[in-house]
Amino acid sequence: MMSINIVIRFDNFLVKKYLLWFLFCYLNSGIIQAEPIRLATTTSTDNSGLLREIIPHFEQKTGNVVHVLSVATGHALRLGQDGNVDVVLVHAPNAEMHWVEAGYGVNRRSVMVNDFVILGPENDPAGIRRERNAVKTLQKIARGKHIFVSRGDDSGTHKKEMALWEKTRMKPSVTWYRETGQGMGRVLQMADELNAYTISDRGTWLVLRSKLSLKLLFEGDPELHNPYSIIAVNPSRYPGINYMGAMSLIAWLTSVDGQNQIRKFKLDGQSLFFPSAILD
Amino acid sequence: MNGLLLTTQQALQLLFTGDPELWSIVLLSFSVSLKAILLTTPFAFLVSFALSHGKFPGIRIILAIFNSLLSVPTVVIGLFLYVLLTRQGPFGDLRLLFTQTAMIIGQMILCFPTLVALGYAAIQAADRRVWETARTLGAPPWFSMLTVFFEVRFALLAAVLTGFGRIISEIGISMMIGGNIMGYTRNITTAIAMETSKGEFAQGIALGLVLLLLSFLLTALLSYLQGHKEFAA
Amino acid sequence: MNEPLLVFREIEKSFSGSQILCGVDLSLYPGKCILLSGKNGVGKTILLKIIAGLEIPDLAKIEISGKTNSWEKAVRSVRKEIIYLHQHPIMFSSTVESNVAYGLRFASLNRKQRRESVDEALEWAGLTDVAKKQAKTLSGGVQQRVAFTRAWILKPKVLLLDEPMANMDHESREQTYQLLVRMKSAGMSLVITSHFMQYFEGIVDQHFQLKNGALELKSKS
Repeated sequence: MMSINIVIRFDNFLVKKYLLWFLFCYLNSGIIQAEPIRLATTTSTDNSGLLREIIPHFEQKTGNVVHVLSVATGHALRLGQDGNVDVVLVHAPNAEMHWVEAGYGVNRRSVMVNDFVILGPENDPAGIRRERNAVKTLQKIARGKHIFVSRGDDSGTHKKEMALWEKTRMKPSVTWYRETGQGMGRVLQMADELNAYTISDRGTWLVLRSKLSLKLLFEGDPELHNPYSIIAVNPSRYPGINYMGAMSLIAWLTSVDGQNQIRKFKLDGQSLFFPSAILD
Repeated sequence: MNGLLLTTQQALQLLFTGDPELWSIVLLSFSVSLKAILLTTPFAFLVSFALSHGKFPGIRIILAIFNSLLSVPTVVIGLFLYVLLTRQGPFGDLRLLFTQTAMIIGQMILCFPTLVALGYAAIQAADRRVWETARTLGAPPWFSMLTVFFEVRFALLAAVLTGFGRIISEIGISMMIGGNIMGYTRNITTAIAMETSKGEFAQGIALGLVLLLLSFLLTALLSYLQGHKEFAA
Repeated sequence: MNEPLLVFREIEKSFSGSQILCGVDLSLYPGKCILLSGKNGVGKTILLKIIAGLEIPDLAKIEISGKTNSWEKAVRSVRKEIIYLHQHPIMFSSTVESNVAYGLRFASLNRKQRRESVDEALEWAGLTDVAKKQAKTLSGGVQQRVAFTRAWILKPKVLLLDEPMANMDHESREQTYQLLVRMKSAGMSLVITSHFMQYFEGIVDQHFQLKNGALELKSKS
């Protein structure tokens, strides 16, 4: 039971002044920084680890700092529309085109392509392994009423899935179709738990496949192509936007160097993204 | 069960080998929350004191408002701030969205009612004679207030610890207006949310352990202070 | 009698509906001691606190060297010369020394002068032995002396003491009595509230009783 005998020496004004000055400097230490480039991208893109691998090359080369916000596709475009980021990297071609047409973005460039895959339980009750056509696999799943887990969150993956369901001319029913509103990683886990089918981007699949009992059952149909584009936010809409930074990033990503970096990136031994900016 | 043990093992490994990314996340949590609490405390306690000693109308109402704000969900604050800070919003020109500064501001708003309410309770519990003695011995009002603070310092410290506990474990604000940017606005809670959504539990658990440990420490400190208060006459 | 230091006039105060003080007048003379008696809760403490500037009266006037001013205008300058001592004084959470030195912080003295002043005061009150002890751990009687010393060191013109000898043993009462005598001879004006007139025999110059909101003169020496 020792009470501390502190004799408050407030008459020592120098000490007070020094402490206040130090506090002020410490609190402000974060502010003196170069202006960052804010990139909004999708969770699946970010989760693959590609950006973490290649962005530092860009940062070193140009001395820029890139802040990556990883959100759902819809949210990424919204962030760009609201001027809260400088550049977006997404994989939803229809949405992108509408976005640019609406005047929210400029200088849309193709960056890379990967694909979606359809996963399911090892024993494949719907028998989609031998299929050659993505639409037909979904039809088989629907007919057999096998559980299918969906993103349900307006992401690029989800939009692709919806486009495919359109083509099947079948409407998924709540009895076997699970709309989760969750990220890709979670959805894969849930599909794993439920021994269900799902559609996923290859990147997330490669990251998680060692932890799951799900198997890759279908791939390769051009329908499952997943093209990525980068778009700068329209600078005329927001004067303070880091347009130069955005264009610098776009320039690098679509340059020979950037494209090579993308090509070199491997996940679990596999190449994941195929550069598409420069046609050779 | 095996998977859980393995994951926990990996988590502990990450923690003790000083995985730089992990520890930069932890550091960020502390940096943001410490700044927020340090900036808020003096002003909050001033308000507490005014409410305790003041004789203006509406004190009861103000107190009721602060008490009701004690358990506002953090996402609500986060959302509210997002609307204010977004480019098109009233404070968009400040370009604070997705910065540490914004997170600090958000957490300041979060802990302010807690500090005021608990500070008020502490000061109310103080012996009125402390203030009177200080004043009659010639201390100006500001120093008399500090004297009162000193006499209830343990209760005030408990208020600060409680406020700190609340803000370091919040996610609603950090996620919405921080943006979970790696190396910049990614703190413990947003990292846990992200890692689990990716299915990467090891990192999530490691961070969760840090947070758990911290909350144990805070609780222990608070109990110690409680006991101390009863001893000091 | 000589000139009064201060005269308080027409003090009025009501508390939760009832009128505690209705037009109280009190003159304070240097080196003189006033005893205030009255039932518990009649308003003695409130009166003292108003004089000390710790409570706000509904109405009051202060007369200094013949000039009268409203309480609001004069209280700020008057407050500095008056110190109020609680019945059970509260000790700050620090040493006896530190408690005694508290008020000196705002006097314009340098560190050496402060040190001397504190040492002198501790000796005056016989507290040198316990100077470094935590004030809160000491007995009630010693704490009372610390409180006196805390006030005395500031050399106020007026000292207001609320029931100073309540709950004291004989020895403490003796010591307190001696301190009061010395304060009086140093020229301080004392106002004491108490039920026990017998304890203050020999130092009281005027005895008033507070009854029905007014002061009744009981005796004068």
